[in-house]
Amino acid sequence: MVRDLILRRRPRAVLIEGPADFNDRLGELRLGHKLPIAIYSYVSWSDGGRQGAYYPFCLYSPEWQALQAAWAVSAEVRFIDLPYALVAREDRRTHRYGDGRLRAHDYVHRLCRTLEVDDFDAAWDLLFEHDARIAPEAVCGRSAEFGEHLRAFDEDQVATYDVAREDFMAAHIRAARAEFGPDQVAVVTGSYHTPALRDLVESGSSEAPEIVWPDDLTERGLALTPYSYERLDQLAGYEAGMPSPGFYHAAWQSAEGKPVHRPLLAAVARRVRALRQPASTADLIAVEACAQSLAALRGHAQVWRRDLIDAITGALVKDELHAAHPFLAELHQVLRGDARGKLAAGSPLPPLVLDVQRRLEAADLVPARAAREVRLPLTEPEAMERSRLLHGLRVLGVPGFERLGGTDFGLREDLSELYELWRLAWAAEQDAALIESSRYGSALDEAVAARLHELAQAIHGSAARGARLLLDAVLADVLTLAGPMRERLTELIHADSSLASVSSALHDLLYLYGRDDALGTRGQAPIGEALALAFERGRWLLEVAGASGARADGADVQAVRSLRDAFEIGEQPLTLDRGEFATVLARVQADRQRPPGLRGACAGALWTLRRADPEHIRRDLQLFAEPEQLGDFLHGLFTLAREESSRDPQLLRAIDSVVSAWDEPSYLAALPSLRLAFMAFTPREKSYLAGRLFGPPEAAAEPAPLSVSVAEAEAALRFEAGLLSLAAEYGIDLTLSQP
Amino acid sequence: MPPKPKSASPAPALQRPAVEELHAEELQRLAAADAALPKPPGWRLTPQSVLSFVLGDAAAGTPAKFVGKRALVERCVVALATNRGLMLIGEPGTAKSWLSELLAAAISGDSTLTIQGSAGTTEDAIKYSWNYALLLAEGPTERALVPAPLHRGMSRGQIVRFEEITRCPLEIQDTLLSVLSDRVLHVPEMKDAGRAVYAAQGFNVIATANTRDRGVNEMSAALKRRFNFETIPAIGDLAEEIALVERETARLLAHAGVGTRLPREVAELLVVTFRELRAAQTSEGRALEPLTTPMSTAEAVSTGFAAGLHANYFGSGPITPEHVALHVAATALKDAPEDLKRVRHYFQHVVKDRRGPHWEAYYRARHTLD
Repeated sequence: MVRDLILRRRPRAVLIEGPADFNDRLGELRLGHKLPIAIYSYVSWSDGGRQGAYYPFCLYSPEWQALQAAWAVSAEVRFIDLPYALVAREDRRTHRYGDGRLRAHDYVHRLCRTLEVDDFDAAWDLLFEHDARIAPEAVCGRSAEFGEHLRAFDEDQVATYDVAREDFMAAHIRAARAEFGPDQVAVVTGSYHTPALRDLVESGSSEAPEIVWPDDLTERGLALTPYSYERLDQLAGYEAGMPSPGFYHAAWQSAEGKPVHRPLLAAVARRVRALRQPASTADLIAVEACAQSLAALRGHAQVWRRDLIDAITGALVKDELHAAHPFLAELHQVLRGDARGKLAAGSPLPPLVLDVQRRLEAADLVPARAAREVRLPLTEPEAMERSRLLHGLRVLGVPGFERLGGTDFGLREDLSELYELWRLAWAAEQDAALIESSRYGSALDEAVAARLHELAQAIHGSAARGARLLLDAVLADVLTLAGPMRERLTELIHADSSLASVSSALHDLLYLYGRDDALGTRGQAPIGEALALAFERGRWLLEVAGASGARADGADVQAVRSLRDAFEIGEQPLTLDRGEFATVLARVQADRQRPPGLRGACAGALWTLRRADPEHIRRDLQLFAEPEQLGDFLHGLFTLAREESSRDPQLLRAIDSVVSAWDEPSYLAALPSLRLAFMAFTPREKSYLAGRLFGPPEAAAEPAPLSVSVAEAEAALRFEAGLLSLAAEYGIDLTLSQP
Repeated sequence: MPPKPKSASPAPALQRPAVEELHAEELQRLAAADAALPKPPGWRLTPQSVLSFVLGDAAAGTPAKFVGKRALVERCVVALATNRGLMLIGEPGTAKSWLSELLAAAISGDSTLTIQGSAGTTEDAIKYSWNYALLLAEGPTERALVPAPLHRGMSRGQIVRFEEITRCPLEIQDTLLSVLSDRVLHVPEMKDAGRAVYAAQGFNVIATANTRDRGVNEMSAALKRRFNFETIPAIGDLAEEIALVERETARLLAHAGVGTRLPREVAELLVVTFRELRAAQTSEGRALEPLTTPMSTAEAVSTGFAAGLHANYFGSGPITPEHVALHVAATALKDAPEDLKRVRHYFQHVVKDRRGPHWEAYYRARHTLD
């Protein structure tokens, strides 16, 4: 439509809402790129702040079509918006053509009510998109009217940066009008600005505006980068961009008079059938009928986006509807489209590629054709720096940088020597992968942070996997940049309902926050926050853990231990609430329906927190006097309170009295779990315990080591017990003859 | 069949008049405005007016009767205008039946052609049965035939409502198959002309099914194919749900002759509790253990109503958070001790951290759950 207007009216100048500092490089846009692409504009300040934003172009963007048409009629083309670097401080939107702001606008809410539609997209489609027959001039009129209403709602609340932008754009328009004649200038801008611009161009000087860069600007730049429909479609609050780019792409491409939705419906049907789901011809007829009727009911000139979605929802989906229904997921894939931009050969390289090259050279890590291995001792700051760079490339998935071995901070099995071994080799896809990754950002750190965020978005409900990403962020040293990823981690922790997973996350975070020396994360606030959250979530889940009466597996006991450890490290710096934690532990410990292992662990935790009386624990022991329970209970107790219980002789005597009361078969039944329980102690500790029980240490001395394996000894005991019980059945009491 | 006598003088007062009686004036007004407009065959109103009636329209002077997305109701109306039936599914208490009543009243002017699905529903209750005295005396004649809702709806061209269809045994559900695809009901006992009842224009079926009962009698694929499915979700917007609970509780209390009202803050507390337990997630995004009881808006209203009665008869004035806490357990939780535990957990971990006098009073009342 913009194109038609320009081709028909043939203005001498076309002014487009785009970054004015790109004007001298407009030629780069003519290189024959594969859309979507974006102009990326970045800026950094002397205070270390850094920001970047995108001006995306896709086939159907009015800005792109205006460019093409202007070139076709040989008009002068100018971008007239204030450079991003001058508004970035106040205006944080990174998608410069997005309309997230409008979605939350009061006027838009009212407009939706008046038009009887559910949301902004539907209103927009109804007003501007669905009918190709409306004359371009009429659409311009509508758009201006829409803008006026918006502005009337805002009145005095127009943001200062918008005012500055409009002044700048108006000055450009005045200059162009003076140069080319008032009726020879076409302006392509968002409808929000139209009314203000109309007023502003009527008065004022016709000098072209100067760009004045502030003093605290340390770096700024613009570069073309590839973009994708996937990214355009990411719907997130203020940043909400353009939903369903694939649909509008199809609408743009479809020949006049041909229904837009048919090929899309066909694509959905193919995908659904590929999933082996029913989508019969009759079903498709029903969808088609439904879509046509909905379009008619809603006053659409043809079946439009929402009609198609609703028709498929109504006629094809036969189950309870939820957001993740596979049919709808397929539909959204189709509507989103899968186009990925590609820069034409000969385009300047995107900034990310240059940044990585520069850093690789500085760190002497440029891969050569012949592979080489690099060993990095992580105790040296310089090697650490190099390791971070390599981890960054690993996260981005750039080929040619392979980590062969070294300290695994995830497993932490061997931390005796901290080193890493990397293999560097040149690979053909390296540059391509970096150019591809440049949609994540213009500098490595930024790109890694964005990639981690994307990875985190793909995780569902597992705090453990989220914590692993945090470790990656630490390894690549992008922790502060990775704010969105950390927010996602917060969500993951909140949403995780598995105690084992939260406990595993807690374990990782605990290491980073409390014990790590190599990575320099000890006591770092962002990790502390995550730790506190994971602790709180774990405490919450502990309360419902094992409530079904299932036997506790080791994971529950480990979880209590992680929680207790996290509490001990984090109590002071993170102000964790001792009373609250103890209350939860006490409630679980007292709940008869919980498995004995878990109750034992809670008792042990309370003991180490000085919130339990050993007297009570000894008394509670009687509750677990059953052979199938005692071992589990003691396992939990000893795992958590090893020191305390080994220093408490009375506890040992209490255990002894319980065990002594059992007959042989009960004892044998309890033996495996008892052995597991006592594994918490070292052999020497076990020897002392035995000494306390059977007399002074010198009498017991070191226990004579068994000459056979434990399993054999146990088998022998079992055999003996069987023999004795058989003898007893025949009235022979052999036990007396035992020494 | 003679038309159902309309009760001109509403004495004695009905407990629950039909929708078309309750909003007779409104429906008449809409029908008069639509008289000259093209309508789907057999409909009393245009699809636009049906939407106005259900969702409310300030210009047409109709109040909203159903709270939900416009697109959803549009889909329902369109489904009924095509040759497929409409199946409304959702959790109990999401106003499925209410929506089907509204639609039937608006489209056919009669929401009473209702089949109640249950394990004991027979074909007689769906299609037709016989007056046996007449059958013996005259044989199978028009006079001897006792039409059930489906027979009536087909011959008069009206919407038939089939409640809780998945509670019926499969073979009973499948009696709808030929009716929905061929739009004809066979009466094999009758002779010649009377043997087949062809559906008059305007006939269609709205069925409702409860997702909690899923799997009890899963519908056959053949029958599913003849329906457009619509899931009625819980109300998405907090403010709308609070307003609805406030309004409905007030209506019930007024009907019961009680002057007590649910204060806004207490309604908010009640609705937030129900929403969080229903979604198994707090407003801060923390996951909760899902309950087995559906915490529907309808349950929230009956909890509010019960709290109101309690405050009126045993309390000293307005409904307080204590009354609500007391009835959350009694009204909403039915017979599920596990749920009670989860609600206690909710109080101990979520309500505890909420600030504000009402939330604090609510937390103090947690002992009523013990």
